[in-house]
Amino acid sequence: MKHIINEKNSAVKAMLSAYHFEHQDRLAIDTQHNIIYQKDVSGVSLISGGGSGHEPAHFGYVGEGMLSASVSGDLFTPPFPDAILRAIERTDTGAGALLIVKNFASDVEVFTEAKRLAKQKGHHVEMVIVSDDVSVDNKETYSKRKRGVAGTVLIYKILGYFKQHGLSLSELCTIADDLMPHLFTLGVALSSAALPETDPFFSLASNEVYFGVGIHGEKGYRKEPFQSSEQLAIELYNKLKHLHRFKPGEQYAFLINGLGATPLLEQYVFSHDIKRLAHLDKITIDFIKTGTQLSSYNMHGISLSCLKITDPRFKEALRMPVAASHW
Amino acid sequence: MKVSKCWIFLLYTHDYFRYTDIRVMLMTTSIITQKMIAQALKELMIDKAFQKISVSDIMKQCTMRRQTFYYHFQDKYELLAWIYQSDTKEQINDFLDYERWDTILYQLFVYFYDHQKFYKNALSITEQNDFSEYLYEELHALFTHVIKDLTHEDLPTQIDFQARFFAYGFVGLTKDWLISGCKTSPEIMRDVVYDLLDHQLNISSHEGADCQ
Repeated sequence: MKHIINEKNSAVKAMLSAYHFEHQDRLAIDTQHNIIYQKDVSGVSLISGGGSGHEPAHFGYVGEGMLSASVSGDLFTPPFPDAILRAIERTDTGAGALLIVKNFASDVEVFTEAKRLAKQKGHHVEMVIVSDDVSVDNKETYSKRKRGVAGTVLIYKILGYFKQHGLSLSELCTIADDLMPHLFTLGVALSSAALPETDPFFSLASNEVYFGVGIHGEKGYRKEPFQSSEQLAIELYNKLKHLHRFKPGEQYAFLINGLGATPLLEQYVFSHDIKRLAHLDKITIDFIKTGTQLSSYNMHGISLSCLKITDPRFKEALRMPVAASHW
Repeated sequence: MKVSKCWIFLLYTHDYFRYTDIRVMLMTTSIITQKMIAQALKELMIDKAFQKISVSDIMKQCTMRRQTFYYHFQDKYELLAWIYQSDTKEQINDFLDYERWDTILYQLFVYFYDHQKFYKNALSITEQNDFSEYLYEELHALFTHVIKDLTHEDLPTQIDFQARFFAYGFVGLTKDWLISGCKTSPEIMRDVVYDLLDHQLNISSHEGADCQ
């Protein structure tokens, strides 16, 4: 497979450097630690990050009203704790730092270590772990995978709004705790992602789709022949409907997320199907966003995130304009 | 490729072509539009007999043109059969790889409970009633899955025999429950069925062994 890069090992640094050059009026870069951060920070610092290859996550969400800083690791590899510590030091103005972490064992490990190191240095640091992936983890028990995937971007947006409105570190943690049980995401792949110099993560016949795949090539729960966007929308929507137990009149936010190689036209066709299905169930879509937000490198596929709006402020938080380039 | 009206007319009038063939040529079927039409029928059947509902009533209910109905269904009987097939598939088959069998059964009871007025009305239709057939087909797949998973039985005939036994029993039980007005809750129905299956398949001990 062909990739538009020069050298695999320098690709992340080149990407961050170019991104910073484009947004240098409002963002700064720490090239040694792969940190993109706001030049002007105030209030609680919101920091996220993880392996690269999920663009525009995470740096695309740094800006007024969303993240204060992002820390990037190599492709599908989390950053080092000292880089996260450096991001805390660069953006903590005294109100403390909140680390927003996708629930992958290696990510949680490095962020936990960074939190420990930062606390030793006198910073107030808390961590929220996003685990919105509801694909099947164990085929015996049907327990859900609970990794952190595209729904994480909705958490950035809502916490960013409350941070901007002056909420404290502990108040932001309470908001995060309120949000997490109501956020689910499920995806489908039309083809596997393949990183430079590696084989695809899974094989799929040309006419097949794979429901429930993860963002690092984790296996899904079912393969079946592709028929239409409606087929994919019904499958993903019905699973989230089952978990949320949709009732008429309830309010929800939806995020339709391209997984890296999905044309925007296809994403909007899928989004149209979701809108019609929600109408059928008489649930209210308070907010919907369509676009590539948290990708799986070059996977052709789509994910659907659904958040129950349990507090009217969440709707306002999602709708508020922000300065982040990729929201 | 555009099909001219004149050409369609010729096909329509030609003996070799049935109406359904032309329907396929004219437009691609949308499952979500089919669902919308189905929902309209379900809403009407809450307080009106199926026999007294016309295609015009259905399309008025979902605010679509009458012609749209015929792009998707031949008549209201085909629509009713589609509802049976689609509902049972979406509630059972589509969940086989996603949830445990007892969660699926519970979800099914909840679904029927929530739509009991429609199903009670539908079960009284005697002209063309395939409900049992569709429900049986999906339940047979579910129980085959359960028996294979829990008993580690590898004789296909033995698995099939047991799956048919449970599927027939479950269909009858569900029909009686719906016709009598769902007097017991979905939770009690789930517990009763679980106990019956537990007794027959000794699920508890299998699951206990699996956990060790």
